[in-house]
Amino acid sequence: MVKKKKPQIITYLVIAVLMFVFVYPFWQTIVLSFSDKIYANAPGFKFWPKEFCLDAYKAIFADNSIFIGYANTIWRTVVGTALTVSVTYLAAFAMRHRGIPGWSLINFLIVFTMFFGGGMVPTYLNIKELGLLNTRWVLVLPGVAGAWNFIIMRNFLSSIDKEMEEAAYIDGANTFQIMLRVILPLSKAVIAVIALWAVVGHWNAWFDSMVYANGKNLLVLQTVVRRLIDTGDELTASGNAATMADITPETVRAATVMVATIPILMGYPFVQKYLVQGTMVGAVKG
Amino acid sequence: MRITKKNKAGTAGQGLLKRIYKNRAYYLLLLPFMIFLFVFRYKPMYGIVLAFKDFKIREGIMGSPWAGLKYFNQLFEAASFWEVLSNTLIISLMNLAFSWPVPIVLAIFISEIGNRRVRKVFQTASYLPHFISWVIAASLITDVLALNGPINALLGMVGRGPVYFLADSNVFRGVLILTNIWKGAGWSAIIYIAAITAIDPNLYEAARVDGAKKLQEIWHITLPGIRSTILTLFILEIGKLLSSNFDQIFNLYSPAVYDVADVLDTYTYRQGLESFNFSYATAAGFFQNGIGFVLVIISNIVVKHLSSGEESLW
Repeated sequence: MVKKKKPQIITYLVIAVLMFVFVYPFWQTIVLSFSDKIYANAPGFKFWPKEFCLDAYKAIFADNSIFIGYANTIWRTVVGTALTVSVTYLAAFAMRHRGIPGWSLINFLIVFTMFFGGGMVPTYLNIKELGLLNTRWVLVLPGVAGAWNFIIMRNFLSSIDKEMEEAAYIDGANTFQIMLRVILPLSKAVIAVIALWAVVGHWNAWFDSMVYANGKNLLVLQTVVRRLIDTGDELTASGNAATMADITPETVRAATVMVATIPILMGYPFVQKYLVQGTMVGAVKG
Repeated sequence: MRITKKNKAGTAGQGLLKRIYKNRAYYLLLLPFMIFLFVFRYKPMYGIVLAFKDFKIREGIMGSPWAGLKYFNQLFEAASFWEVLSNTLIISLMNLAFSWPVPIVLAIFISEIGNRRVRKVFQTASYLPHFISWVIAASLITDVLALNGPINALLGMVGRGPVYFLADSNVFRGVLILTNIWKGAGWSAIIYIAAITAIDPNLYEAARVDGAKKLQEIWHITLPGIRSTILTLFILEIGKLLSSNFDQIFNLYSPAVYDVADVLDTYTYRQGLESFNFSYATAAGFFQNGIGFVLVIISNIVVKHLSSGEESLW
């Protein structure tokens, strides 16, 4: 017993230190976002704001880009997730058994895109040719068909017991009825996983927005934050922000990060379990 | 000859056309996915011909005149390209050496935590950083590494001068490695934890009866038990040597550290989408994707052989 005590203490010490490393950067940003100028500029760790200061939040809400960002992020998340899930589900349903002629070829065409692509410039020119530059559709359409989602979904659907659908066939159900009434209810788990991943992916996406849709009315939350990282000092030094005394570029950026990340941080503890399970499905059978 | 299993009247004598007709509903369902795939994944591949053409924006990809290997020659003659290529390889190899083993250690550590609640909370915290974008992560990292940030405060306490972590070429690659670990290790550990869970508990029981110490258990039971997982992920990682974490580097780097952190992805981006050297950037991108493709295929074949077909990606 005495022998066991010591390693226990060391283990818990390591746990505490690592937990701190994982969580502190988030905590510091929360603290910064509520800090006044003096505390924000003070050196060292920031565990609690000296004075509770809301000026940074006032500053970002005084500018409408955060609202535009929110609207666009929610739009792309909802529309993009719905499209991804439904299109992927239809394809995975069709490909769940190897029976249809051309199955191997189709499967190869899909999987191949995981390993090779046109590259940045050809992809950009393609978007341009399609007339999608600076439209909101460029935020959702290019990502609809993904090989990884397809494989996970297909593997799940092909593992569903065939007896049910065979019984439905005998009862005279057609393919679409089987898809919607027999298989769909059994696929809730995998649909939830793919949908959650799509939500996280869309919420966090920034590159497509930066490159293809950089007009102000198409900003998403991530690009609002990115602009602050790039040009934080100028932003606070100019415009109406300068009239407010108690903000720094860091507090404004921290507040923006908070506003952009709160939904993820709030929802994360509840959904992470499913995301982990989804990864396992993909890893085991991918 | 394969026959559709659920065909009501499926007989071996059916013609191909007849079988296709019978499955027409399935092709219809596949159509949206395949259209998206072709328009957004396959059509850009055609654009790779740009690397062999003098791109004129008015003529389009099709009408632009051929240039042969001009842009590849330019690429291979540019000193900047070789610097970028070596940066790419150095950062990838550093990640392989330092970031890649961390999830294994973390997974073993997590599975050794006796208290179930502590383990759950710890794990949840460990993959929190995985769920934010690199844009957000860059913002957090910038604050932690700032001149008035906690790390520099700690350095000051032991009498070391302030370090400009994000603007100092001497330390920037280290920052990339460490932030990579911070953001990804917890999540990557999941797959190893699953592998450890699958190890037969009787083995540990037997070892304990034989008087094995914790470290001996880890060395003789845990590690051999997850060897195939480790090997598979290692080989797959080698397949990715030429691709870097664009999101990470792009959001953290600045001209001050281009000499150590500019990699093929960021170089292609700046050449193509900032300087509009379309053909040149396409050539650079094709070089990366082409060789990357070959590496990934080789690594997958190796994995397939080692695990007799069970763990490869397809």
